[in-house]
Amino acid sequence: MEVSQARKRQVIVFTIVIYALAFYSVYDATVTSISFLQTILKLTEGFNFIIICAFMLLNSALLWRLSTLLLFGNLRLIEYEHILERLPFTLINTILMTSMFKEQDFSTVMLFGFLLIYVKVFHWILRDRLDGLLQNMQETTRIYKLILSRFTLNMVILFIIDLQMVCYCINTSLLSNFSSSTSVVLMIGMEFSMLLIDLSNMLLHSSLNLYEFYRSQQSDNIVNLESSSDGEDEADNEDEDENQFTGLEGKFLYERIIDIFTRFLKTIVHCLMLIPLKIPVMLMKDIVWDLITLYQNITMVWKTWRNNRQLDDKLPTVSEESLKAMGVDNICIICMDELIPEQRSHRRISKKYTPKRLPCGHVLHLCCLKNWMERSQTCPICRLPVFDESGNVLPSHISSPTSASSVPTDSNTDVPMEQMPQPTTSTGLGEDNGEIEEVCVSQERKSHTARNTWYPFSIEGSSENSISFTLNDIKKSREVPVKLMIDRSLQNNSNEVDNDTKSELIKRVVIPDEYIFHNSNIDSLKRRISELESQVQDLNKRIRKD
Amino acid sequence: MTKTAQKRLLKELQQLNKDSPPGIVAAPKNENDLFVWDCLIQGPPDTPYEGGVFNAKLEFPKDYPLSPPKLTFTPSILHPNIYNNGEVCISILHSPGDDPNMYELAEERWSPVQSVEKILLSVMSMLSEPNIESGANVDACILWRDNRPEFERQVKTSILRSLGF
Repeated sequence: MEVSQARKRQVIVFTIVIYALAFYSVYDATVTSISFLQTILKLTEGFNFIIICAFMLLNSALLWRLSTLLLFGNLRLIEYEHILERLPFTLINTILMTSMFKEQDFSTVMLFGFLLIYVKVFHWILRDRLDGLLQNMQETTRIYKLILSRFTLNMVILFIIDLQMVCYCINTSLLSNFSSSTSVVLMIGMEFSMLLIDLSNMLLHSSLNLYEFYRSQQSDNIVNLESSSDGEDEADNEDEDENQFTGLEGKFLYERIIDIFTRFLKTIVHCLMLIPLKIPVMLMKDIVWDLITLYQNITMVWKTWRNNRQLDDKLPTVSEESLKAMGVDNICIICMDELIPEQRSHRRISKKYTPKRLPCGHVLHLCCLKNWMERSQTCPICRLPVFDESGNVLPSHISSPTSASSVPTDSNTDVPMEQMPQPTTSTGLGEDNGEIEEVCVSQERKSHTARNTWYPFSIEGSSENSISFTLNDIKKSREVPVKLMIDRSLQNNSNEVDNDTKSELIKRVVIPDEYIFHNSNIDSLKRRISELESQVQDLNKRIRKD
Repeated sequence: MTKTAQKRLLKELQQLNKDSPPGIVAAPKNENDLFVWDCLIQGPPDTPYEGGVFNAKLEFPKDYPLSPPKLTFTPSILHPNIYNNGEVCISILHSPGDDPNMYELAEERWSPVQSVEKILLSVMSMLSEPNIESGANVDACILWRDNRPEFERQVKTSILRSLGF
């Protein structure tokens, strides 16, 4: 508070000093010179010129302050920060722009440049205002109040300014028949049309949000009406809760599309400018930048849209029994609600809330998953990607116990191995079609519980008595090459197989859960033990010291 | 969207009320508005922040769990990863989309698995182990790296001042 008070005082003193100096120099110049021309000459020389410049800068700053106060009221801290952040860059850009033109245009360029920065700052504030408005939207806010707010007024004013400027620039450039100063006007006109496009972007965003708000209020009203008409029926209300409007589906995607649309408009304007303007160096940068972002955004939106559309069909729905069997908590991590509501399990679950299983084995509500996938195409829990590049669901790393037991195709070849201390191997060979499908790495079945999960891996190479494949280490996100030796004595057990001819037909290997995490568990336990030991040593030292 | 966020925030509040981890208190500032929370974080032991109790404000976006909340210490504290205005800069509070300089790995950033409890716990661990590689307060970074005793002294005095001594 004290600092701002001191600042204020400094500004006031500075203003007074500059004003006094300016008046004095003007007075001095007029008194000592004979003609008006001489006065002007004197004012634009030496120290007088500096004073006049400072005077003008100060006045424009004051004017800016006044106009923001009128348009927006008091600025929030974040708005100030954004302005300070962007201003230097914009200033440098404008100065660079002025350097491109001939000397005779300098004053026009400076004038327009100043005007441009003025209006640009207003646009930045307006954008921050939009964010603030969205943050502060409450359920109790009336929708007409939102429409008839200062924000709309500001938007209209800026819209008119921008439109006027663009029209003016186009008209002058057409009238002057592409003379020397045309490029200046065109450049300024382009900048203003950029601002206009930005403004329309904001308009679209705010109308999208307004529409969503309107929908949510309407659904609220319906719920209120129904609950007041038959308030005693609890179950009915609960049901209503399911159908309630929980936000516009795909809103994030719509916003992206709006951005792409405006970016596209900008690209068009930039390209149009290529025709009359002779100096396309600066424009080329803009156009290349436009095209790159356009391409990136479009591919992103396209991928998200395509993947989200097939979420429902391609991801398996999880039933209550298999959920229990998998030993997963009955909670959707995004909304923290029950995946399958317990009290209402007899009831039909609405389609939005069907629990879906991702390839990595995590289970989420369909609508929650959809909303998250708009932002990131990975599982929110383990960050494994859900879709591959071409938009297919990645092969499941986990097969549920019921399907896993069918993976080792023949139960009689699935021999329990006691003689081997290392992960024991047996060849599970399917001979239904006369073709070997899989090799199954199994262990003693006596500890086989319902929670035992199996991981299939595709085989990369095989020789007479060994196969190799890669494991994915999720935690360190790297791949571990693994080589498995097939025990000869076991092969003799499953006697019908001639491995030499058929080893190339082996396609997958299936490993139970325990073996994969075994090592890391041991590692972490060892670490824990060493930690505890060091702690014990520390304590011993302390005791000795005491 | 708001409904989901409110439901989830309510659930987290209930969870926190049921069993909150030691050294952390958090609750909405106002009963009608679940989107702004007040938190109290105890300085972790064996650090310069030991003995201090720090007040912080959590602001949730309307599409919370999908977007991360913003954590601001009020008043700000001297720490390499806390901006001068009190804003906390840790990777789990950055949304997965926007990382302009590709500084952090995707798996370190925001995901709906995080919760108020987890955020505050990671802030506590941030207090005990600053990450000066991606510092927010450069002065604090330099002080922490080059002159640890002075850094600790400044933190201690600010804690004492905040406690009214």
